[in-house]
Parts: sequence; C-alpha cells; structure tokens
Amino acid sequence: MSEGRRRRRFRPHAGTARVALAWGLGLFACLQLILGVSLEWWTPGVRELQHGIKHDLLRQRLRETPGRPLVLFMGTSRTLNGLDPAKLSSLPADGAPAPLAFNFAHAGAGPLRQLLLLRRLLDEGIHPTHIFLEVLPALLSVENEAEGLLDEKLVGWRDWPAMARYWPEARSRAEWCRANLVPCAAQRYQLLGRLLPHLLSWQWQPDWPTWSVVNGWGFLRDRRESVDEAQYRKGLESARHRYAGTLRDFHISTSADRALREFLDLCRARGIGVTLYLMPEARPFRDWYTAATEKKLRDYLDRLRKEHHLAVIDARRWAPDAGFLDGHHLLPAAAADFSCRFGREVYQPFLAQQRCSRNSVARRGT
Amino acid sequence: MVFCSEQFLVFFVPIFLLYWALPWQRARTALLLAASFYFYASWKLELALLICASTTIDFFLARGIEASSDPRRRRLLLTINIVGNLGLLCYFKYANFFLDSLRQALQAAGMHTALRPLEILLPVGISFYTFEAINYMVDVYRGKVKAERNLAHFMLFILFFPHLVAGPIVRARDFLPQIGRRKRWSWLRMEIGVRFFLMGLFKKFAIADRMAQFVDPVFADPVAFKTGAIWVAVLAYALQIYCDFSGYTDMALGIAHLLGFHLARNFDMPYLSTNIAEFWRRWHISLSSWLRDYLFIPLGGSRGGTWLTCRNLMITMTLGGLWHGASWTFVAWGVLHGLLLVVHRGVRAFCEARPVLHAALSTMPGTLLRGGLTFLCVCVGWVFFRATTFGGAAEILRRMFVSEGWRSSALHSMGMWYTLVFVALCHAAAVTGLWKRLSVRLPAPVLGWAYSLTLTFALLLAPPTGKAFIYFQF
Repeated sequence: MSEGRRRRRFRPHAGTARVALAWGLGLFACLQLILGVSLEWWTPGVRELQHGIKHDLLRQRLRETPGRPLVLFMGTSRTLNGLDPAKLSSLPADGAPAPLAFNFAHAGAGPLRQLLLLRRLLDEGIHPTHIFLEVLPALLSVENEAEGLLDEKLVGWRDWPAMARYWPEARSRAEWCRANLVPCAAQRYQLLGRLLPHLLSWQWQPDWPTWSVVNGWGFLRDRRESVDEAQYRKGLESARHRYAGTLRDFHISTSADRALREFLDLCRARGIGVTLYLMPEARPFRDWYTAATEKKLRDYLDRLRKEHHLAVIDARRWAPDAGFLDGHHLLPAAAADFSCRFGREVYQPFLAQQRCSRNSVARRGT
Repeated sequence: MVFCSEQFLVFFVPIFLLYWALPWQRARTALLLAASFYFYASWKLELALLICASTTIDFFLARGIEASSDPRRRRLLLTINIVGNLGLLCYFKYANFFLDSLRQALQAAGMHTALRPLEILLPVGISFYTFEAINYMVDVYRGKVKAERNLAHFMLFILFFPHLVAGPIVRARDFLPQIGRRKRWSWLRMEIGVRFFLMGLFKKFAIADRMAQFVDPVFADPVAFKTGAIWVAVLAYALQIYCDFSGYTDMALGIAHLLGFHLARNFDMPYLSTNIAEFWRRWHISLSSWLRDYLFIPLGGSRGGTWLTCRNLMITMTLGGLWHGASWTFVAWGVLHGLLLVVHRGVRAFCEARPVLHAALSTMPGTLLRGGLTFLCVCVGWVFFRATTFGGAAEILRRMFVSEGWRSSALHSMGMWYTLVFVALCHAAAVTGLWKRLSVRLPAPVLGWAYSLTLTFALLLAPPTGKAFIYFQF
C-alpha cells in the first residue's frame, strides 16, 4: 500500500468521531446502569462492606443449618466486638433444633439503621425468631441519623419505603438520585474494596482486612489483646469527646424513638420476640451519666418494656474496668467472659423459657 | 469552580449547548464573555470586577500605544501597563511576603517591629492573566500584533475561562484572531476535545490526587519517615505535580476545543528530557517561552558573552521561581534551576569540545544516564518546590542521600507502584507513536469503549477527598 493511500485510509474522519463519541457516552451510561442495578439487586453487600460480609456469613450459616430457628444479636460495635455467639452455649437438645445464634451487629448502627437492616432481612425471607437488640443510650439522642446514612451512601433504592418517614427535610429523593447517578464514583471505595483492593488508597486499606476477620458467627474479635495506660487514656478521651456531652444533655430524640418503636412494632407484627440490652461500660464512662440522664433512660426503657412486653437487660456493670479498650469496647478476654455470663444469665434462661413454651403448646395440642 | 467538579458540569453543559445553538458569532462571543465572567465571579465578584477594570485599562493603553508615533509616549504607556500589572501582582501576591521577610530581617538585626500582615485575598489566576496582559502590550509595542479594537474580544482573550485560572499563558497573536473567526461544528474537533478532557481528568483523579496521599504525610513530618519512604514521596510528588498541572492543562485544552478554540499545548513529556534546557522546553511551555521572550531576551539573552548569559539565566529563573509563589523556597527552586541551566551550558560546551565523550553520551546508555541525571536534578528541585520551609526541605534531602534505613511502611503500597509503572508505559506508548496510530486505526466502537473506560476508571480511582489544583495557588 502506498504511503499516501495508507494515510488516506487511516485519516480520522467526522463519521468515526461522531460514532466513537456516541459509543463512549452510551457505554458509560450502560456501565453505570449495570453497576447501579447490580449494587441494588445482585450484590447489595458491595454497597456496605461490613454489612456485605456479615450478610454473606449469615446466609452461609443458614444454608449449613437449615431448619434451625434463628436468634440475632443486633447492635453497635460494642456488640460486634463484645458478644461472641459461640460462647453463649446452648441447652442439651430436647429433640427440638437448637437455635442458630448470630451476631448481626454493625458498627455505628443507631435505631434507624437497625430498622433498615431488619427490613432488608425480612424482605429477603430471613425471619429470625428472636432478636436481642442492643440499646446504646447516646444514639437515642441523635436527631439526624438519616442524614448520616445518606451521606455515607448506606441507603439503597429499596430502602426508600423504610426511609420515607425519616427523610430529612433538607434532602430529597432527587438529591439521592443525583448523588448515586454515577455509581462508579459514588461507590468507588466499596467497589475497589471488593474487586481491586490493591488499588485502594493506602489510608483506606486497613479497613478491609479488619472486616474480613469476622468469625463464622459474625463476631469481630479485636486484634489487640491488651492496651497500656496511655492507649486506654487516649481511647477513653476519644469516647469522652464523642459521648460525654450527649449523655450530659441526654434526651430521647423524636426520630430515634420513632425508629425504635417501628422496629419493635414490626417484630411484633411478624411474631419476632425482642429483648433489649445495654452493653458493658467502664466506670469512667458510666460517670458521664447524670442522675437526670439515668432517670430518663430508665423511664424510657420501662415504658418500652411495658408497651411491648419485652425484657430489658442492663449489663452495663457486667465487665471489669480492666477489660475495656477505651471505656466501652471490650478486649477479647473480657468479651469472652461477658459472652459466657450473658449466655448463663440471659440466653440460657431465654432458651429454657422457649422450651417451656413449646412444651406447653405441645401439651395443649394433645 | 474547578473543571472536575459537578458544579462545573452544571455550568458548562448549558453554555456548550447554547453556544453551538447560536448561529451568530457575536452572540457566541458575548455568551463566552458572560460565562467567563460568571466563572470567575463564582469565586469572588469583587475580584472579577478588578480583572475587568484592569483589562479595560490595558485595552485603552494598547490602543494608545498603537495610535501614537511618539517613541517616548509609547514607552510611557508601555511602562504604565507593565508597572500597573506587575504592581497588581506584587500587591496581591507578594505584599505579605515582603512584609514578613522585612519583619524577620529586622528581628534578626535585633530591632522590634510592629509590622502586621495585610488582609489580602489573592485573586485566582492573577499570575497568569497579568502575564498575558503584559505579553499583549509588549507585542503591540513591538508591532508584532495590532491593538485589538473590540473591547469584548480583548476581554475574552484575558477572561476566557478555560485558561483564565491556571493557564496556559496564551499569546494574543495566537488567540485574538480565533475570536472573530466563525466556528463551525466539527465532530472531529469535539472528539479531540473530549479526548483531551478525559485524559486530563484521569491524570488529575487517578494519578495526581492519589499520589498526594504518599506525599503529604512525608512532607508534613519528614523526621517520621525513613529513606525509602522519602524517595517514594519525592517520586510521587514528581508524578503528582506533573499529572496535576498537565491534567488541568489537558482539560483546559479540551474545553477550548469543544468551544472551537485552539490553545497551545503546555507540556511535552518533560520527564523524558535528557538535559535541563530540554526540560524547560517541555515543562510549562507557555511560561518558559514567556520568560524567554519577555525577560531573558530583553535582558540580553545569550548575546553578551558567557558571564552576561549566566546572569540573565539566573535572573530569569529566580524571578520564574518567585512567580510560582510568595515564599523563599520557590525562589530557591528558581535559583537551583538557574544554576542547573548555567552548569548545563558549561557541561555542553565541555562535551562538544570532546568528540569521543560527546559520542559516548549520545549512545543509548549515555542518553539514559543523562535522562536519569536530569530527572534526579528535577526531583531535587521539587523538594524545595513542595516543602514549606527550608528546614523541611533540608531534612528531606538529607534523608534522601544519607540512608536512614529502607524499611517499608504503609506508604509502600502496591497501588503506588502500579501507578508509576502505568505512567512509564504511557510515556513509552506516546514516544513510539502508539497512541496516534491507535486513535486513527481503531474502529469507532473500540474508541468509544476506551473513552468510557477512561472516564469510569478516573472516577473509580479518585480518592475520597479531592484536592485543589496545585497551580491554582499561583
């Protein structure tokens, strides 16, 4: 081929340019649509790393133990690090299958997030028979949990019905759509974390291995066996900065109360039993509660107990001060001890009561 | 408003659509002028009015120079323009720097002073548009360019938003003729514009902003890092500043193409340079050519013998360093490059007088050696450019060349090395002409795939918090 002919053949022309641009735009739009649909329907666990891992583990446990009733422990990072279902033990089988206990706690999850998590499970057909729900008093004061969830992009399209009543006035669904219009940008950390973790920025990287060491029952054992005085003080100071003010000016926020009640109503409607509990706190942490705060909290929990006929377990004094990482998260040894005690004093009596109920139902039947 | 923001997208798309929908060139010019004013005023309205006022004065001064035949009057008008523009630059950018330096000098001499910094807001892009105004005025004075008679056209030359904030420094003789020319829609041109823009976006998001995460912690506290991490940070900064600035320029060129304008390229793979003079022919080309034409050559250039040439080089590069920022570290960077240019002239003369040595240095190993040495010198310069204090720069340099251990830290992440290899491969592809061949031979759908994947990966790899363009501070 002559040089001139080769140049003419490979000279760029307007038709190619137009088609290339059209293909580029079209393919980009398709890619975003596929990503968006995938994140909503096929791989919702990618949107939220810790939820994805726990959700996958729970499904795996359910597949391995079909037919066993499911008991979930839902709460915050306190429960995530502090309650190991494997240590709860269970009564000798009386012919009925022992329940599958699973730690479904999520770090930073307040009442609204717990409600969203429960709705997602129920929509997927995962139906626990009983839920132990942690109450973190400071989170009951949070007014704008919905804002936080939106900012962290933890809300998907299918969560809208649950979110509708909590949608902050300053936000709108249009803004949600705009923020999630380009999933490759909006969800890039989540996507990279799952698909190409080596390309994650180095400041993000420690987060991924942390969540991947969750055990088969959803429990995340803290990597530190102990902390020295300086580390403890630093952790406590961080907790003080975050919680002390809220506990001093404690009040039950409208949205948190509404979300918690909606959670309890949903459980009642679906025949799911609920027990509320408060996780251990070290003495310095407990000192941030004023007398008025304690009274408000106690009165609120009493009201819930009476209205919803549920038990409330106050386990705030159940761990020694030396067992804490930062005044409210348990170190591994203390978490093991707490789990055993929780099993002895709460879970096993609960199972015994369940067994009695089943036996009395069986007797009435005959 | 930065090019890689949602706000800019909302601004640009309607402008673009309306621009090409308007059939009259005058209306398009008016639209661009209004859009450019709005673009700048979105930072601060007062500064937009300032730039308009200064541009109007420059316009009339240029008309006055052209209309006058009296050399003294012409020189006076030119002097007023240069002093005025440099005065603006000095006041907004260097007033506090000089006050602070004076205060420190007086304190060092044992005198107490109550000099306080002035509250001055630095107009974005002032370093760029004052230089454009000066180059226009000098060209009119020299008769190379006719004074623009249309105030709107001249305003657009200065305010044109793609190049307003961080260059390239546009020459009046290249840009003004384009304003009045009727522009026709061209798919080819649109594709070129999109290609430039995507390339710039990828460089900014996927490379420059990510490299910042390796650079910032080290330069903030160099004592906490060992030699290995220091070298990683310096290499990362070399990549960061190149991809940040050239990325911005690519986006500016792309946007200009989308509006039917052509801006000159500003970078030509500077890290492939084999000597420092070549580096300055490839790095920030619009600035280096401006300094050559309006500072180095008027000082005498290289016509006055070795000593005068060296003096002129040192003055030009020192002022070039000062142009970048009101800090002695920038001056040091400029002085260093001046010294390197002086040394280069000497070394070049030495080698050219020795044919065997010259031939050896022209071989592949010799070229690689020269290229490596040039890159090393440029990286040493970047340490001064990035450091905020001389102490910090000295500590970095000490740890670079005196081993403090090579133990890897969290900085040694695979992502960083992948990026380095990727950039090196891209350079290799560009040098061999692979990109050019591919862009004309690949079928349209494949090109479309490439564009969509470039955009996808640019967005995917962007770090959580965006960083401002480095050259915005100049």
